[in-house]
This record gives sequence, structure tokens and C-alpha cells, in this order.
Amino acid sequence: MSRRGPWITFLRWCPGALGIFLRQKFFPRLFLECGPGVVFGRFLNLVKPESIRIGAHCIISDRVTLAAMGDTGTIDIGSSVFLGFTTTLTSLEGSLRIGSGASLGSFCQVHARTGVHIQEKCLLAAYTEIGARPGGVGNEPRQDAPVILGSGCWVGVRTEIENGVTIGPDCIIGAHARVRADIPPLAVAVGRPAKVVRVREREILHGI
Amino acid sequence: MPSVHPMKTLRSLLAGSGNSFAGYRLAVTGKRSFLYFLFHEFLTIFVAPFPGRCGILLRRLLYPVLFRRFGRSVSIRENVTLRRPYAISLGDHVTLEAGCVLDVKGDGAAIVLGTGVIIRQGAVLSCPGGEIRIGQGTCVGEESRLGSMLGLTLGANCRLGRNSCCIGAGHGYARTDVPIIDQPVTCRGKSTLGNGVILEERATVLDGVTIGEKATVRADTLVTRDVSPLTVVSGVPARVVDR
Repeated sequence: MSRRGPWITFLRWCPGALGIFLRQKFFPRLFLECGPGVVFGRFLNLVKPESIRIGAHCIISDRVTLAAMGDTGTIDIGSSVFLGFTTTLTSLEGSLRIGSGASLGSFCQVHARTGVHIQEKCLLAAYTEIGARPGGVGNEPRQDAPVILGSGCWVGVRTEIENGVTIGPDCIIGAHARVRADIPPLAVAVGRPAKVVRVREREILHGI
Repeated sequence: MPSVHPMKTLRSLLAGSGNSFAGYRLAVTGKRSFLYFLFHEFLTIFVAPFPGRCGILLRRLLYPVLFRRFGRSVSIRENVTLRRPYAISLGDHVTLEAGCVLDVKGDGAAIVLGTGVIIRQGAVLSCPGGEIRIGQGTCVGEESRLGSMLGLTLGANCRLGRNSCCIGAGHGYARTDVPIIDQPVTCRGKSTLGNGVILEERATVLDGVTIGEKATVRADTLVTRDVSPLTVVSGVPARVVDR
């Protein structure tokens, strides 16, 4: 954490209901903005929390990393977002935005190089990776465009989504897929690299 | 056809995660007495984080009353997260390494670890339904994730590599006017790994899959269907590469 006082260190460690209560009371002032009722787990790693916004009633599990790095990196988390154990959100130059009601499973990694926008009610399963890892070989963004996950989409376990990809709303990405190209709305895409295998049918409601 | 749990949307499964004191208490000790909850909290604050050999011995002394079963010489390292330990059974010589999570989420769910089971650092065992049963001598790798909705059984002497994953459940997506996260959770059935199965790093096993004895699942493999005993599978989705 960028502000190391013994009090923050204690809060970060404090176990049990006491820890949750104290963090709920005292952590919000660390952030640029923080809504009410946020549950902060233990052992969080926060880098530049003054560039991070968190909406109301989020659940941030133990060992989550929220890192707004560089001069322009920002993180914007909507309300009622769930971040699973040991999930890492890193923003290097772009903005990392997570829409309200989204859910990221355990061990997810989101690295916003050119920006990542996860829209409302997205469901990311465990071990998902979005964006390139900072500092790796061959990690230059393919385009300047940010990664966009449309609202309501379901991204399967251990999927990799590369920079510059737009995934339409209500898509389903199969487990272990590697998404390199844009996916249209309501599509179901699987494989490495991910290819659309079918399109979900839009329901037509009669007489309602 | 996956069996659908009509009311168990993801949100309601997560609701017990503690947005209020009542929610926290339900998540951590279920409907047990307030005294049980108080003792659990006392141990969580003062005993769970205690490091080193001293911590292990202290937990060996004080934890058993919380558990359904607590074997001999159980080693629980520091900062292990336990939710609803009254539904958890630990056999003799079980080791829970630092920071792992044993989370029983629902009434009727349970976690049973056999003799000598090792759960390595940061692994997550999440059980909203059914029972996670791990046979003796099995080792679950670092930062793995085991989930159960209708049951997950690991046989004896299995090796699960780091970051491996047994998925407990999927998500219904029949409706397109409702986001998938708000649709019911689904499960194709119980998952079973036979004795001596090896899951290498980053392998994933989906729900309702049976993996036969002594089969090997190579790294980064996605297992979507049953695997016969003594076979080696690899790829996305898994295909047999050797027998």
C-alpha cells in the first residue's frame, strides 16, 4: 500500500467480524470515492487508492489487488460488484472500469494497458485474464482501443482476452478460450483462438 | 440436461458473504448458537493468525470443538479461512497450509478430508451444495479452486497441480432478456476423480465429469467429458493422447 501507517497495516490484517467492521468504517477515506456498505477482505494490496473509485455494497474478497499505477491509471468500480479471492485489477495507463452488478471470480487478472471496460452484470469465472500482463514479452497492445466486455456476458473459466477486443453484450465465451478478435452480441465463442460457434436467439415475447 | 436450481441465482449464493452482521454470522457459523459464533470469532481473531509451530499446536488444542470431526495431528497453518467448520471433517494428519479457504456455503453441504490430505497455500474449497470429499493422501495444489454443487469426490493419492480447478456448477442462459448472472445456477451432476488421478497445472475439470483411476490430465487442459482410467488427456477440449 502507498500509505503505510501502523493503523492501516493493522486494519489490513485484522481478522474476523471486527476486521470487516473496522475496514468498512476506515478504508473508504483512502479512496477517491467509496460508497457505503463495502465489504473489504483481509490482506488487500492497494496501490494509489486515491485514484480508485468504489461503488456501494461491493464485496472485495481477501488478498485482492487494486493497483492504479503510472500517472494516468485509474480504477472505477461500480456498485454491487463482487471481486473473488486473490483477484488482481491493475491499471497502467488506461482506465479500468467495472460496471455495476458485475462479478469477477477467484484468481482473475485484469490489466488495463489501453483501458478495460467491463460493463454491467458481466460474469467472469475464475482465473480469467484480461489484457496483457505488464512487462511481458510481446505484450504491446494490438490496437489503441480498450477491451470492452458487453453487459450481461459470461466469460468462462481461464479465458484470455487480449488487448483491443470488444465482446458484445450477452455473449458466452467458453472456458479456456483465447479471444483475439471482436465477438458480436449474443454470440457463443469457444476455442483458442475463439471462434463464434452459434448465436443465442433473442427471445420474442408475444402478447405481453 | 443440466439440473437447474430454480432459485439459486449467483446473487443469492453470494448474499451470505457478510453485508450485514447477520449475513456474516450466517456465512461463518450458519444457524449455530451465539455461543458457538462467539467462540469461532474468538479463535478467528486470536488463534487463526498465530504463526509458526506454536500456532499449529494452539489450533490443535482449541479448534476441535468447532469441527464435525478433527483427527489426530492435524496441522492448520496461519490465516486459514474456515466457514461453517461444524460441517467440516478433517482426518488424521491433514495439513491446511497458510491462507487456504474451506468455505461451506449452504445447509446440508459438507467438506470431508481423508487421512494425510494436504491443501496447499491459497487453495479455495467452496461448497454451496453437496459434499467435497477428498480421499487419503491427496494433495491439492497452490491456488487451486474446488467447487461443489451436487458433489465432488477426489479419490486417494491424487495430485492436483497449482492453479488447477474443479468447477462445481455452471450458469443457465436460456433467457436472453435476463443477464446470465441473474439466471439460475446449473449443475450437470456430481464430479468424481478416481484414485491416483493427476491434474497438472491450470487444468480444469467441468461439473458432472468422472475421471477414472490413475488418469493424467495434462497442464492447461479443459476436461468436458468423462475420462477412462489410465488414460492421458490433453487439450481444449481434452482428447486422449496416450493410454
